[in-house]
Amino acid sequence: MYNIPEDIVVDTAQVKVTQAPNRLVALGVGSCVVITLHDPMLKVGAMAHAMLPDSTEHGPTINPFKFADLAIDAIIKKMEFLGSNRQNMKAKIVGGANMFPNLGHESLRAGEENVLAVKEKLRKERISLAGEVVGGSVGRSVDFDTVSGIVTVRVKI
Amino acid sequence: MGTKMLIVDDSAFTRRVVRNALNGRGYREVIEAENGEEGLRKYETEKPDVVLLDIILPGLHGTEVLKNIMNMDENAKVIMLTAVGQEKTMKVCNILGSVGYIVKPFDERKLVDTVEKILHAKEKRKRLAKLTEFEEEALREVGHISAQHAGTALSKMIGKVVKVELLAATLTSLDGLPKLIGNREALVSGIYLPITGDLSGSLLVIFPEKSAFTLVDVLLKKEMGTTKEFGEMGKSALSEAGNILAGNCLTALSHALGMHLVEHVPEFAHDMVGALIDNVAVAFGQEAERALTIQVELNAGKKIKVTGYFFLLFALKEARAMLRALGAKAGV
Repeated sequence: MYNIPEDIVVDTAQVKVTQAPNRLVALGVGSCVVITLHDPMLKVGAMAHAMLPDSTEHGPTINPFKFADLAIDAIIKKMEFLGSNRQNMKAKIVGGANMFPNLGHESLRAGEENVLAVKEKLRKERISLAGEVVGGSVGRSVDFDTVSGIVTVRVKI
Repeated sequence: MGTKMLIVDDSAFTRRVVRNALNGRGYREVIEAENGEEGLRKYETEKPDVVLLDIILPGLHGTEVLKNIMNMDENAKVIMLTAVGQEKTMKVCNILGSVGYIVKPFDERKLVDTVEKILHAKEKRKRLAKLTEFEEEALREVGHISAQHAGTALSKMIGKVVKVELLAATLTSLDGLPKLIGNREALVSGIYLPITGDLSGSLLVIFPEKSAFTLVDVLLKKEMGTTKEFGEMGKSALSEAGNILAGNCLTALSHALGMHLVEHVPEFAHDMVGALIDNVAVAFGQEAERALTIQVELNAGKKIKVTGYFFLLFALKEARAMLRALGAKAGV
């Protein structure tokens, strides 16, 4: 069967899973962190677009997927549901910028915290990190090809 | 189990009067602090049910102590101890979240009555996750007035009439904020300003790329269409424009609310709008699920087309403080 590739947009605080030949896309990522999981054997992929590092520091929430820890739990589960297992999952992460670096405003350092939290969570879940484009002060868009597992990062500035 | 009370007052005499008045009335414990710093420490460790807080304290002022307590615990029950003639300060305390006041000198009866009433009042200060239509309307009005002042400032800067249109004043969930803009990849210039003082929040002024270039042309007195990218001077001019707009907006907001708002030096960034808004939105995510967003469009003339968007972002808690300041009926 021949499938036409589809671009699936993953908005902030969303998680999505798909299979080849589809692509998962995140647009205009600043301090958020986009986490992609790819299974090269099954050619399935998942993407999370998290805003904040840690759900345990917050009260009850309307949308759990804005937190990196819960979003990562969710994409692992979705991948497992499609038959993948964690040994085969390769993670890549993009984002965690600080768009206003000169202000030194405490709460704007979320990007840095997000990256640390995501790496820690992946370590804890024993998922290997295959690549990262993080930090700095630039907005990024992310294209994730579930056929090859290639993650393309686009910047406009 | 009885009630635990914390009294913060530098006068040993007042502390004793309070202790005596409450003696044998079912108070489990009366904890004393003789200054604000000690009061804050004890609030944190002892978690009292109710606090009596003097306004004039050595060191940290009573209003500062109140602000810190409310930041620690949004549902804290703090009763201010005040002297005659401190009405203005009382207004500020009310805005900051105190639940009542007792005027010194007070008799035991009055003290006990006030405390009991406040303790037994049914969750009057219950925080709703939503604003009523009436409340949103009140905040919209404030936003509009503030933005109009910004528009007037822009008029003066560019020598053209600036029309201010209110697009929206809504309570937006954190993850919904970037969606307000539409295309997340659109290039924009953003000027970001943290707001502190009696309220904490953010002001984000956004100019779509084309408008930003036009604005730089106007400000640097260049021929229209000259600017194609930002040099240091362009960035500086835009930042300054943002600063002036934001400053006027905040001054108007301060006046409308009768609150003291401190503005900071703004920072300029030029990038994808999604990235900028997310970054600012996250500053709220640290403390709030929702933010009050006031979105305004500025349009200057036909020849000089400058469109700008103002996002005044306040967490729900701050929005409530604004409503209290406006004298609107909040949260009931």
